Parts: sequence; structure tokens; C-alpha cells
Amino acid sequence: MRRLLFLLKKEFRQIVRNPFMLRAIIMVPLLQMLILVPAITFEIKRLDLAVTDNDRSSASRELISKLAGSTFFKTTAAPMNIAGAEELLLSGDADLVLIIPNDFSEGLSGMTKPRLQVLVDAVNATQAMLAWSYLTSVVRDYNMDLVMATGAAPATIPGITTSPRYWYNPTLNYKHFMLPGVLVILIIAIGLMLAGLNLVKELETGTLEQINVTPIRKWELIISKVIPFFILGLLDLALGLTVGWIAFNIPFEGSILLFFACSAIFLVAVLGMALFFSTLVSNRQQYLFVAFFFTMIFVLMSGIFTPSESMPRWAQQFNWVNPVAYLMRINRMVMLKGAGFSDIARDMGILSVLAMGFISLAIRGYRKRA
Amino acid sequence: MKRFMAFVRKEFLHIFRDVRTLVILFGIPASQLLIFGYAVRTDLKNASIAVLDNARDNVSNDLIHKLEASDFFTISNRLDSYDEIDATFKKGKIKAVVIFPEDLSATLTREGHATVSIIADASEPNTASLVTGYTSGIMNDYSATLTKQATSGLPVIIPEVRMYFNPNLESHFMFVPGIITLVLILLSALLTSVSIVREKEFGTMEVLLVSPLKPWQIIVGKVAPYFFLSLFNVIIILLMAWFVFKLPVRGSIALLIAECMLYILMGLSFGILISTIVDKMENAIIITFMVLLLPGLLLSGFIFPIENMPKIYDYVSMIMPPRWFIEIIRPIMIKGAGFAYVWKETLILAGMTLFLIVLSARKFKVRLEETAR
Repeated sequence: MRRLLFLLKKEFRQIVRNPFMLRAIIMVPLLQMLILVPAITFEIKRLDLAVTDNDRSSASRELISKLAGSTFFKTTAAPMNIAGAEELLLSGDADLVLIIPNDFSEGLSGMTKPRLQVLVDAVNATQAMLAWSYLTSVVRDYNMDLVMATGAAPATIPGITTSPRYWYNPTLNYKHFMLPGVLVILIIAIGLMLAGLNLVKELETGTLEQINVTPIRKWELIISKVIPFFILGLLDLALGLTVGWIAFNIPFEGSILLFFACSAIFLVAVLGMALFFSTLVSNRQQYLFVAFFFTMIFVLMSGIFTPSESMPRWAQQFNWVNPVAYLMRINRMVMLKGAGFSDIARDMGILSVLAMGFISLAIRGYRKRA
Repeated sequence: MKRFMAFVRKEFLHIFRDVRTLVILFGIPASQLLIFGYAVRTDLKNASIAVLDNARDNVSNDLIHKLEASDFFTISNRLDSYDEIDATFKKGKIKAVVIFPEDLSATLTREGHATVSIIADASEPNTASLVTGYTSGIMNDYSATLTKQATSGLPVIIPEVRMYFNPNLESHFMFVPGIITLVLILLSALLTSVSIVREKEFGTMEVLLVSPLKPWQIIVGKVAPYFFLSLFNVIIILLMAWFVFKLPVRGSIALLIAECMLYILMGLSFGILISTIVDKMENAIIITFMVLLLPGLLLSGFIFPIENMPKIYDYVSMIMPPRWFIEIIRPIMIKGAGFAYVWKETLILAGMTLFLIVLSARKFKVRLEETAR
């Protein structure tokens, strides 16, 4: 036991002796919170709309001003023809181009149905679909206005409208969504990267051999390497949470204890992964890339940016063994919806099983090495 | 010259002897392509929703069928009362609840208009807006079928759309350029800095410096393999994208490769610069991650468009090379744009690269003089 305490003292000393890392451990959560959280959003601001008006009637001008007045669009250029329109799309100066035919106002008298041509820059497919649906909804409104103006009573045009309400995040604030995600990335950075690099360093510099000939037991060594980063991980989590709370007013509906308990289990799983990976490599460079490889996969598939339920079957099945997916779900449910223990019990249980699984993989790996 | 070639050969051998790293280096883009191409979806598919049907009439049944039939939704719960909603959300099973009011048909016939409520779980705001957007789209379609007879003789405008550059609305068009950016940063900046710093840590850098090799030979020799490795990796990515996703390079491949080479140079000089500043590998990794990788991934416009971020990010991203590189290769790859469209961004990227090269050369010379003392 005394040996373990000495080892822990050594580990903490070594961390402190690297002033850069010390600063990084404090600055990184701060910076990540402050910079990444406001940036990551799928919200779409105003789209650049170019209009070619071949009709130049009061009707077409009204349509254009309605579009310009909406919050979705910002009118930019007015190209002369299709070639000009395509130029704008190619150069990126317009997100979409509306072409009003010269028989627009004539058609509105009811004789023909005027067709509007819309050219959309579809490199970003989701944005393109949203741009198209915004445009059609404005055109539909304009159409409705015209129909009402002809005197036809609205009752003859039955319609169902939807009225949306948003719970847990009424302002659709993306920060509320991203903060749990960035916190998870934080834990992984410390638990997987720093802890693992530390482990492999002993291997690479040959000091592991030296330790092996001392009375220090294997388990004492491993525990002494894991505990500091466990503590640092939880501390950084608390720091990140505090910064998020102060800077962004993130609500915390659920129990903080539950939140930290689950994060602790997750941290154990991540440290187990780090241990396991360290048995597969022989130097830090290899470890870096192995860890990065798996981190990218686990993080992207976890539902951090996009919902994991939208993923194909095989991806969702993969997520059964993806600890990040579990923590993302738990974090968001506890922080934003105030979910209680019974709601997340299943997820928490599976996460614990995963943690134990990784640790046993790691132990097997170490035994083989010995 | 022979000395130099021998040194370069040694570096290449080092790299090829490290099979694990090589495998991962090519595994990363492959896995990214897979994930971004098939798993990550920014739109909706089979989202679980619940239905609270207080109307239980033809209209509500029709609408429920329409919802069920669409690709976007799967109706997983039928609720009986309003009070169940919160609990169901807390369990995390559903994204939204569609509530049909009791007197739906009656209101529709009497007033011609009826309202259906949607309560969306906005803890995932993007999903919530998509859910409300698509459900109202479905309701609108339904309304249109009701309206068909009523509007003959009335003005009806028909918008027609043509999706440019990506007619099938595939989401991976956006991502492949980003994957290239990521991989190039990893290979040219991270690997370079880590490899040079390792020599520093083990003291072999000093040995190199006192050898007959000139300093520029050491640096060029060290980074040359990574230059070719990066280029090779880009070609592999483009080939994979072509074979797996049928993603062509619409513009000039030569231009694309040339721009990639410029970007690789940038990464290499960044790596060299970092290696002159730090002397521990962990620190090199931390800096490269925080300054180049994470911002390059998240703030450069790779996944999240810069226009959607607060204005200040737009200004700050201007000093980030990945942002300019994405603005160069995306138009070339996907829109087929030629040099005329990207010359400005290329100039900026070239300027940044030059700056980094000069800076790192200076710092390296300083280190040299310190060693000589």
C-alpha cells in the first residue's frame, strides 16, 4: 500500500514537472468550452438568394420583396440569364437562384400556371433541402394571399396547419445540445490520450523494464498510472461544466451526482481502453494513431453531432459496444431533460459492463506481455 | 548529395518498418469515408415519434398512415393521455409527439382549418426542427389533396427545382474534401512534428546536427517521406471515393493535386515549427491537436458551415489554413471550378505556407546556433 502511495506521488510530480501539460489541462477545457460550443450549430442563417426577374411586373416585384423580407433569405445579385445564374452558383456568391418567367403575371390571372425555376447549390444537401422548403413556403404564402385577394373565401380551401412546441430547449439553443458533447470529448482527450501516452512512454523510454525489476507489483503500477488521470478527468469535467454554466447558462435539470457517477464509469471504460491499446503498441507515435483512429470512430458514431437513430442498422448495432454513445445519451437526458436513475438505469448498466469488458481486455493484454 | 539520399532512404525505411502506424494511416481515411458516407446522417430517417390521437376519426387515421408511410418517421408509441408525454420523452425513446385534437374533422368541415400540435424534444435541436419541418410538409401535402378541387380557376404558382452539383442530394459530397483535409493535417503536421521531437527527446537530433549533414538536408530529409506519403494517401482517398461512392473529381485533377501539395507543404512547415518550440512529444501532440486538428475539423467549414457561426468565427477562421483549403478543393472537386475561381484562396494559402516556412527555418537556425555553443 505504501508503495502505491509513493508511486502516486511520483506520477503527480511528473505531471507537475511538465508545466506545459499542466497549463494545457486547465486551458484545454476552458478553450474547448468557450470556442467549440458556440460554433457547432446546424442552424442556418440567411441564405443568399439571387433573382432573375423576366417579368418585371408589380406581381413579380411583390414576390421578390416578400422573399427579401423573410428571415430566411438575403437577396444578392440579379443575373441576366441562366449562364449568369450558374456563374453565381459556381463562385459561391449565391446559395440559390430564382428565375421568374416572363409570363408570370399573365399566368396569375388563372389561365396558365406560372412555373418558377429555382436553381439550388446542393453541395450541402441538407441546406439545399431546407432552402427549397423555405422558398416553397414563402411562395405558398404569397399564393394564399393572391387567392384570398380574388375574394374566394378561405373556407373553401381546407387546410391543416401544424403548431410546433419545443420542450426542454424552447429556444432551440444548439449550445444546450453541444455542451454535453464537448464535455465527453474532454473526458476522452484526458482519459484516452494523455493517460495512454503516459503509459506508453514508460515502455518506450525503457523505464518500464527498470520498474519490472523492482518489488513493485504490476497491478500497483497500473493503478498508479490510472488514478491520477481519473482524478484529473473528473476535475476537468467539473471545470468544463462550471465554465459552461457561467458562460452559457446551461440548465442542469437532473441530478449532478448521477451525472458524475455515469461520467466516472465512462472514464473507467476509457482508461481501460487506454490500457488495452497500450498493450498493442510499442511507442507513443503508434499509440497516438491507434487511439486517434478509435476515438474518431467512436465519437462520430455516438450521436454527438447527428442522431444515432438515423443511422443504418449496422451502425446502430455497432453502438451497442460504443461507450461514447451511452454517455452521450445519458448526459443529454440527465442534463437537459432531468431524467432520473430509473430512466437511465439500463444505459448505465450496459456502460458498466463495457467498462469491465475493456478492463479485462487490458488485463489480458498485460498478462500476455509479461 | 549521396549523403543526403542515404539519409532520406533511412527515413523511408523507418516509416515502412512501422507497419502498425502505416496501417492506421490508411485505415483512418477508409473508416472516415465509411462513417461519413454511410453512418452519419444530417437528415432524418426512421425517427421514432409518438401519436396522441384524441380525434380517432378518418382524418386523423389518414394522417397517421401518411406519417407511418414516410421514410422519415416510425410511429413507436400510441399515447393515451397528455401526462404520458414527459415520461416518454425522459425515457429517450421518441423524438416528438403528434397530438390530434378531439374535434378535428368537425373543425375542418366547419371552419375549413384545423391545427395539429407537435411537441418536439428539443434537446436535439436539429432533429426537432427537422421533425417539425417534415411533419408540416406531410400535413401540407395532405392539405393539397383536399385543396385540389377547390382551386381550379384560381392562381396557382408551381415552383420547380433543379439541384446543382449534387442532384441526388448525397451528403457525402460535403465530407470527402473534409476527410482529405483531416488526413493531410494528421500526416503532414502531426506525424512530422512527432517524429522530429522524438529525435530530440532521444538525443539523436544532436547526433544528426554534429554529423556532416547540413541542417537543411536534415529537415528536408525528414519531411520528404511524409510529403510523398501524404500525396499517396490523397490519391487513395480519391480512388476510394470514386469506387465506393461514385464521387468524381469534376474539376481538373492536376489542379487538385497541385493544391494538395501546397497544403501538404503548409502542414510540413507547421510540423517543423512546432518541433522547434516543444521538446516533449506529448506537448507537440497537444499543440497540434488544439491549434490545427480540432479547429481544422470543427471550425473550418468541414462539417459545420462557417456562415452559420457567430460572425467572429468568420474572422478568426481567416488565419486558419484548413478553412482556405476547404474553400479551394470543394469547388474544384464538386463544382468543377477551375483555377480562376480559386486563385485568391490559393494565394492566401501560399502566403501562409511561405510565412510558416520562413518562421520555422529561422527558429531551426536559432536552435542550431544554440547547439553549436
